[in-house]
Amino acid sequence: MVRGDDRCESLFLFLEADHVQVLLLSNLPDDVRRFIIANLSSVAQLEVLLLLRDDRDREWTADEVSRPLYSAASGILRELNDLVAKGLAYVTHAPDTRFRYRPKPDEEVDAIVDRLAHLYKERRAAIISLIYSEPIDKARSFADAFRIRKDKEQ
Amino acid sequence: MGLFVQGMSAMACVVIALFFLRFWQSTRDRLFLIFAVAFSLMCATRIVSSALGAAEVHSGYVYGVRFLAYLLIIVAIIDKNRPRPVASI
Amino acid sequence: MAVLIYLLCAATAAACTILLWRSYRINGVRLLFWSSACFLGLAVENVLLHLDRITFPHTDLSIYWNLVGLVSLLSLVYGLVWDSK
Repeated sequence: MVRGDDRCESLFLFLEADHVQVLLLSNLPDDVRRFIIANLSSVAQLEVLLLLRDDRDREWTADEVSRPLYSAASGILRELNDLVAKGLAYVTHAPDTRFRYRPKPDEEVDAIVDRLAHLYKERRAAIISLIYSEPIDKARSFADAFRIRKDKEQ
Repeated sequence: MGLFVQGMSAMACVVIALFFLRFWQSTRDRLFLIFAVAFSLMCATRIVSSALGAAEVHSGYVYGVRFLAYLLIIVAIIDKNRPRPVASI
Repeated sequence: MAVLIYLLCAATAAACTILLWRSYRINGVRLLFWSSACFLGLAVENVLLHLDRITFPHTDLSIYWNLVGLVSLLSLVYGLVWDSK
């Protein structure tokens, strides 16, 4: 970020950026935000999920997924397996390993992913910054819940 | 049945208090320490009430301790919301 | 004073419920959901205690508040064990 000896100013800028980020995050719908926090650990994973969803009846190999995303197939395979573990995709091993979009508790999750896909077109920055925001410290969030006025914190 | 349920509840309070103690140890946030004491008192409520027997569930000893537990929770919340000195830059 | 104590306890638990629920709605941390459920149950427990002592002094409601108390505490134990990492 800002490098220079005027620390005060860079801290101020930092706080400003943080504040903007909080604003961006707070405008995302609750269910989408919760879905992202619970399920997505990287933007690559989000893009894999959305790619699978766009062609939901197709069964993809890791190689086929990696090409439009310009990524290494090995990394993509890891993301795909992770999506399977989270109940968002389905895997078949015969004759070769192929993946297909299939959200587990179907309609509800499907609707959230739908909205996420739309939001990813319009509010890309908000979603990316949410994915890369610090993992929430559970104990701390419990203690912070008892803070009645939240606006001055963070 | 009543005694059994009270025993289970007392045990649950102990577990919760221990978790809060661990949170206190890792975050050094006083709120967790106060909550740990509050849940220990809730455990005491259950022990005292089962020791006194079914006829005495509303005795002053029991609700006194219970009240103390909830009072501590109020103290913890107030403590959390006290204006704190802002760290100087 | 003794008349008010259970209601004061209930009000405290209800306040905790609201604060925890509000944060759960914002950050989706499941521990806060279970904590909020626990305090909601404790609020109900205290209301039942009040009913038992003041409103229906001749009926024994102890099994109800005992069970409600146990279920609420167990929900917090569940949350702490599974969702506090």
